[in-house]
Amino acid sequence: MATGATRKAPGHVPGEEGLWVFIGGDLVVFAVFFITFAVYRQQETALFEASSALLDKRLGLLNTLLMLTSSWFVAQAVAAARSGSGGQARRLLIGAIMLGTGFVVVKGFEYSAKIAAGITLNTNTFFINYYMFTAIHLVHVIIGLGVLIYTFRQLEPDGSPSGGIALIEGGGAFWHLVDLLWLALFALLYLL
Amino acid sequence: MHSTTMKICTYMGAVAGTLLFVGIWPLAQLFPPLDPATPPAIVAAYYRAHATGILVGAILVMAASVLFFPFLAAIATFLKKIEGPVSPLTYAFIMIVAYGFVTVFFAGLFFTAAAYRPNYPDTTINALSDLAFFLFVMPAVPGFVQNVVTGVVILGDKRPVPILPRWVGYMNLWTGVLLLPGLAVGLFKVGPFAWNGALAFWMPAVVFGIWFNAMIFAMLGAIKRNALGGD
Repeated sequence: MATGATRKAPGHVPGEEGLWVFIGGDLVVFAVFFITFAVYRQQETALFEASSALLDKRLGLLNTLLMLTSSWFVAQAVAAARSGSGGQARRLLIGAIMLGTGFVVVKGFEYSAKIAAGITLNTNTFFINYYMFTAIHLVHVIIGLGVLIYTFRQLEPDGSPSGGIALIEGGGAFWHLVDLLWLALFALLYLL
Repeated sequence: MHSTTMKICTYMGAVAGTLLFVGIWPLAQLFPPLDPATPPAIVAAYYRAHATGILVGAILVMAASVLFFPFLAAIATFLKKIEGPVSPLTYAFIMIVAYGFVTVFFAGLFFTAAAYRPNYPDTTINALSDLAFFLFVMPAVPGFVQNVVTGVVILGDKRPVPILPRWVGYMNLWTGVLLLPGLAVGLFKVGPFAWNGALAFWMPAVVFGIWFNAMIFAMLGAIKRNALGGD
């Protein structure tokens, strides 16, 4: 779906090569996070299961849907920009930005509900992991939103990307990374 | 001429990194950091038993802290070249590193103070040790902003052949994000985000090591192809 009418030649790297240094590096780090989580979970399995049950799965699922839909909008925007329909790319990016903002708002409600219920950072090992990992991910979401807004501003109203197609491709790739990391976090924290 | 100066400044980074590592690890044996959950009596006993090594190691740590500045100045010179005459981010970089790296000096100072008088009460030695470790790990916070600023400047380079390769810009952003867990060390005494934890200490330490060597590599490359221009 991500590639539009003007499919690039095989071997084309979306965005620019250097960006993948960042994305690859970030994936390595989150892999370390996930391994850390798995090790702690194995040590205190019962505690982790009981604590995980306290999380609001509906809000988690809502955020997953927001993130996935937003990612789909970005993919469509990249396709639109590639096929030269810039106005449409701009509208799709606005949709993606609004959905991403929704994610941040939901996360805010989720945190405040947890804190109101007396569940804080040092409640137990599970919640250290929960707060820290989701907060680090949230920083990624906020940076990603900044990148999407910048990309939007660089798109000319007629749709031609003034920074070149690499900018929207790169911004899109980063947003998909944020999406992918959330999917893993959702599974580990809420569902496992 | 200036390429020689730039090379020396860049190599100073390698000298500083080596001094810091030798000082904190084999000499002071404070690497990895003491467990923050250790009772004061045991912390104090550790400082009393390793006093000489810690005092000598701290000298190296403090010497290293000042030798980082020629290296950081070389980075700032590249940033200034990229930004041109209007260079707010270069000035931001200079101010951030000026206090972000000075903490290394103060860490050495507090290690010295903690080991200096073995007859101090256990809790006093423990408090000085805490301060030293916070100074050692907390600079991840200015480090984050410093790396973001560096990354933004490098990626903002519009030249057909950028002064510094663009992957260096992305690597700086990556380093910045990874240093972030260091910001929360005050909240934890155990677990991955404590100051000796996997995510607040080991990961930033490894990432800092990668950043440091990659910067030296990229800067020497840029000096070699005379990216700064002139003779």
